[in-house]
Amino acid sequence: MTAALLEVSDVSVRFGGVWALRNLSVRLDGGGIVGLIGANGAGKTTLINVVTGAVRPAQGRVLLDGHDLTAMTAHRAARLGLARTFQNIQLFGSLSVLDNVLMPYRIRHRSTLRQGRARALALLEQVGLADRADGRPYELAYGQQRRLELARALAMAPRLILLDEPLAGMAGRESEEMLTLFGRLREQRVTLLLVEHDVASVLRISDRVLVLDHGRLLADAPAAEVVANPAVRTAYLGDAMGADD
Amino acid sequence: MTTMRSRTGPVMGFAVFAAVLLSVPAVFTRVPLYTMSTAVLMVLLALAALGLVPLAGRARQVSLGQAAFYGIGGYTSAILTTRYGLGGWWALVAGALLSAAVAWLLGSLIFRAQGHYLSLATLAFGLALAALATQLPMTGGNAGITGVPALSVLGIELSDDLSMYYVFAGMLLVATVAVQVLLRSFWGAALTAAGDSPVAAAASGVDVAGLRRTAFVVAAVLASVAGSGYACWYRYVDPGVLGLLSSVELLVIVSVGGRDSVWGAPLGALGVVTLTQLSKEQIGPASGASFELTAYGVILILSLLLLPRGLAGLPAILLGRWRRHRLTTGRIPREAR
Repeated sequence: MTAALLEVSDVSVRFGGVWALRNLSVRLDGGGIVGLIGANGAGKTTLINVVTGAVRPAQGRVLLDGHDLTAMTAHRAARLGLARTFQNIQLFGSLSVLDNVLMPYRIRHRSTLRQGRARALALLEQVGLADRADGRPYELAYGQQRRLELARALAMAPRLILLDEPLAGMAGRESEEMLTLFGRLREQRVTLLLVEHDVASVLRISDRVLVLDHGRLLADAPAAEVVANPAVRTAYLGDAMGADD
Repeated sequence: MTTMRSRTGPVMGFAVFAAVLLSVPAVFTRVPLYTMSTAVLMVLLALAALGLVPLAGRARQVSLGQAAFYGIGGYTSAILTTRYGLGGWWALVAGALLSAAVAWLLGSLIFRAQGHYLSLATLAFGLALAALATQLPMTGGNAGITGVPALSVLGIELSDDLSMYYVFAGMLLVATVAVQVLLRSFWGAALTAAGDSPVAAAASGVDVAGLRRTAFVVAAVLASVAGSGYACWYRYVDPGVLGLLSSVELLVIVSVGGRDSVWGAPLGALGVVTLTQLSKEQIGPASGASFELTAYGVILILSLLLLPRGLAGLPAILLGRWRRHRLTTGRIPREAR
């Protein structure tokens, strides 16, 4: 068995008296889009926080390409090729749009300003923001801010990007553009873990779907199988998906 | 990092700043409110507050112990020169190194944790150091240390306010340039990012704790140099320089002047020293520490309400208003007709 890109083994996280994750084990082998769904409080964001080093688990291990991330600080994990976006958009408001991408790029690649600038502009071009490079993040529309977060994540040359509700608050066309971007990243062999409440979009684009329920893994299967899973329908999908059948 | 910003603006700014510093003696010896000793105090306070620009302005970490490092510099200079006969400049360097080491150790402990621990930890550190200074025989107890020798340059003793002013105004100018270069560097961009969003900065590979600690060390070194200068100028140091009031004064200076800009420290020092002088003239010197603390509180609230970006942000506000005024009253450009 080859080493997994991401291996979460028997991870538990407790906040006070509440278990956010309980004996959770997940394995991602690299490539493709993996959807992660579950009700509010199921532990989706906690899982992202554990993997990125923002939250320390009470027990268990997290390995990225064989590197133990469990006790690693967030910035060291990021430098190993782990990037993320946030449920509530987190941009560097005091920096220009270009510097939001250039700064992480130069950290990851130790590049000169000239090289970094050219590459950062190319990344902004990729997400359709090259013409806004000199502006400030708060001057961008909501969907553009989400795309800037994605460009900043791509600047870390990630092997794995954890996307925390990247479609939240977006209108139909903006959502479609974002999903198209994710599709292009899949073609570039970047692995995406997509946490999203827009279940229809997740099921449509994901190669595989994980379902969390009260901190436990309820299902781990291709989208079609997840939709048909009675336990998932009872716990999360309910009648909404049934109506589509 | 500054990818596209102009370099001529800051150079012009420093040329103007140098000219203003050079003209201060001519003005301060003619205007009734000021004296040359006011000018010396102003540059020393500006130097001590300057380090709060990267720390509080960019990293958004509020230190309530900046005066502790001012005190470490002052006491180190006083002890090494009066007890061990060390030269004033060597004592100043020793104070700066000691402050850097203490700040590094303290920062290593504090910045591991998230939240507003710096304020609480530096407050406790400053109070503990002030209490220690009153108890230790080496620091002279409540009486402090007298007879600190004046600094010398090329064998000339800086015994008068004017020569002391020129030397420390020069040091302030150099320190301001150095801090500006730091803020415009890659380090400054990463520090700003860490201030804007620590979690996103960490996810972008920024060592947030390490950067905060470095900013804390820079602030400590600048405060220490100013403290050493104060001890050698005043020829005396006592536990009062370490106290909470002094730390609050430095925070008020940088808040009134503007935390985002290196000009905030000198502008804030000018503003606060002027207001203090005015209040002393109006109310009298016997007003005491409680009055000063109240005055600082009022000044801070007013500046946050009226000028959230401080005096240094005033030109940008005025320029914005002028542009808006032009938009509503100016001629319509030919291409827009």
